[in-house]
Amino acid sequence: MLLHFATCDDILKYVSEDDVTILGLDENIYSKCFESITKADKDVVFLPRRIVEVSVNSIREVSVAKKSVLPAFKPRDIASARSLARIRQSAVILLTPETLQFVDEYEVNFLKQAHTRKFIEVSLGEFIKNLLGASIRQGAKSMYMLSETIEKALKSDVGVVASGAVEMYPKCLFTTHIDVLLYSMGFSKRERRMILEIYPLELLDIWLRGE
Amino acid sequence: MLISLASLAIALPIRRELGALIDELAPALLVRRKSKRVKRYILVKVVCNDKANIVQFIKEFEKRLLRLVGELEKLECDVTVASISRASNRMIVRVRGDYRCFKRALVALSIQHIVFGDCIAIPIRTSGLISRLRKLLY
Repeated sequence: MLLHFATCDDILKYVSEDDVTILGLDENIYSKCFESITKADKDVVFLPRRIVEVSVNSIREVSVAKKSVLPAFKPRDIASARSLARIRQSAVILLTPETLQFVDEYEVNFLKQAHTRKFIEVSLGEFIKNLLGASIRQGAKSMYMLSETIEKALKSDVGVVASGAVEMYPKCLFTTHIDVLLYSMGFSKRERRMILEIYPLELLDIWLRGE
Repeated sequence: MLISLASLAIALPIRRELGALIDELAPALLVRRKSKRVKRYILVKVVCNDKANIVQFIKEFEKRLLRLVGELEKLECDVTVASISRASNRMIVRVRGDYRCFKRALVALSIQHIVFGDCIAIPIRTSGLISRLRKLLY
């Protein structure tokens, strides 16, 4: 759902190699490369994306955020994660190794507290980067907690989408790589299809309807 | 007659003890499953940037995977390149080991470009038979 690119050619190269159908781009590179990405041979939906850090003080900014961009909200603490779950609009909550402790279904129940549909966007690339860089104990713990969080979210029918951004292309995860990682974490074929196909389409539909 | 009676007297308790021992250990022996060593093949597409040397990448590919899979894992997990097609930039990777080894090899293959950079390996299909993947290699 979100990848970082340095040039417009990189986007076209990525699209030609991967079986991606929905691709999120940073809003700056999206506006810069709008002309060239429309020339892509494949049927791909390009989304302008932005990562917004949210604290308790800045929670009001969430409701007035630009509708032309699909934001991913990154809670700074548990209070802001709770506030995000309660806001009366659909929102995408970014799940990274830093926000993992705040996006805990035991603490913040996105399904029960939420009045509208909420989505968790798993930044799988960040987790892999953390796994490769962190100590064995930290890496294993965060991967275990990640799979627990995804499992709980799927059981509660909270939308889970995945993004493979690590650094600038080519240091990113392709759709097949994300599928392999989810498979190694023990998710079934049905669950992987939900994460990679069904929930992103639902998120796109909700965003286009402006809910 | 006496000798046979004496031998029976010794053998019967031993047999009883042996029977009890088998009863105790049999469920444990039945539950214990030795992990099956299998061969799986992965069809991989290689995507390199303009500066990267694909030949060098293929040469180093096995070493990279084994480094990511882990030093001790090499005891039970063997990853080798079975076949290469330079025309289509595809190759078949053979994984010998238990099912856990296969999973780890797949993950290692998927994240190797994040560690080493240059070329990306995209797994396209997996199979237990190399002949099935050979059709898709060229």
